[in-house]
Amino acid sequence: MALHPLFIHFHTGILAVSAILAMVNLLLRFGFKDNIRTPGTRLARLFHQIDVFMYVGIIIGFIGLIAGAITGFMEPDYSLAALEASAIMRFKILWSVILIEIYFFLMIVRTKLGDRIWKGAGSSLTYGILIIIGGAFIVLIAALGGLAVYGETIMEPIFNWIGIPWP
Amino acid sequence: MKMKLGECILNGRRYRTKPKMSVAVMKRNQTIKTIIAIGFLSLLVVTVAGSVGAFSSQTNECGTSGCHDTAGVLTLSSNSTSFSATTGNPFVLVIQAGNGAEWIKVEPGWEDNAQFSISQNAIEDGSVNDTDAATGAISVEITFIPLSAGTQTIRIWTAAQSDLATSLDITVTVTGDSITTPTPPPTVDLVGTWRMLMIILPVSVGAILLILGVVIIKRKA
Repeated sequence: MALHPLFIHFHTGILAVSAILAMVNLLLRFGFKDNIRTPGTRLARLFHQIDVFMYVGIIIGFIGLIAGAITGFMEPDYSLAALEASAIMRFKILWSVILIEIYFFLMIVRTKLGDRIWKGAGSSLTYGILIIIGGAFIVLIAALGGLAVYGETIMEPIFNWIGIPWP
Repeated sequence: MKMKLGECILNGRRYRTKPKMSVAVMKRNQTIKTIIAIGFLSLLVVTVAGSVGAFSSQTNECGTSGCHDTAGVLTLSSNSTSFSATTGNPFVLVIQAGNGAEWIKVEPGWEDNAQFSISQNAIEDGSVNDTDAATGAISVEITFIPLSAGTQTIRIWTAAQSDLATSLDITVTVTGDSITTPTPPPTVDLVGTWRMLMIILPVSVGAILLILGVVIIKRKA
């Protein structure tokens, strides 16, 4: 039984949304600094709720990525040799490992610092940008998975428009 | 107990504090060692560079100064030295070298050799393609396919130790349309590169994130 599809869609969606919300929070952090530092304001509440969502999303993403990787290697139709032979699978494996590292880093830093991560400009930017990069790559990896399984992906017109060739 | 310069006394025992070797002596020794090491490496480089001239992998034309420049000892002949051919139609030349010949070479960079597709560029005495069993004699059949029209010269060299070499020019009058041979793209070991990346990339990303994490956490602590 193919387990991999069961373990990939949920965290892919969460991490993609987290990436979009990270952009919103970066905008709030740098564009509306005074508002979000005033407790009780609508923007401060929004900022805090997005931050919590992203934190939970990162944890789910980290666990989901590991589960997705394990079940990916358990796929009966894809032996290790078959995975290695496919350019799409090689890309997916390599960037999945990098993403596991990135989300592990984000999880540890956010757990250790709490919402103090948003205090400094450097730490805010690092945290936010890594979530955006992670989200972009998870969408790309998922799109490649769709391409491998169904022969087409929703991302295809976007990448054709940008001019990025498929592997 | 009197203490001298460069000594100290501890629990009634006299200890020497002055180093056995002065800094100046150590520096001098260091310089000598460095000079010896550089000299040895330079000698190694010169030796290796000099010996390269004797290797068969060289594609330079023989007969230049210091590179198989003793002509006339080795013999080199062909079954034909002047004839006509058509582009795309292969012809075979029987090349024979003797009197101590060790190699026959037909490199594409020599004279008009690039205007032909050549079946083999280098034949060693006693190799599979050498049909003359005698040592110091080579006989080989080389197939040429003319690629462009015109009067072309095929240059062949035979060479051996002690800077011996002899060349032979064969004139071919080629007619017909030019042939362009597509150059195959270089093969890339993608799986090998990926396996290497699978180690390098996660390790480097991990190291960067670790440094980043330590810096951020320390700053906020």
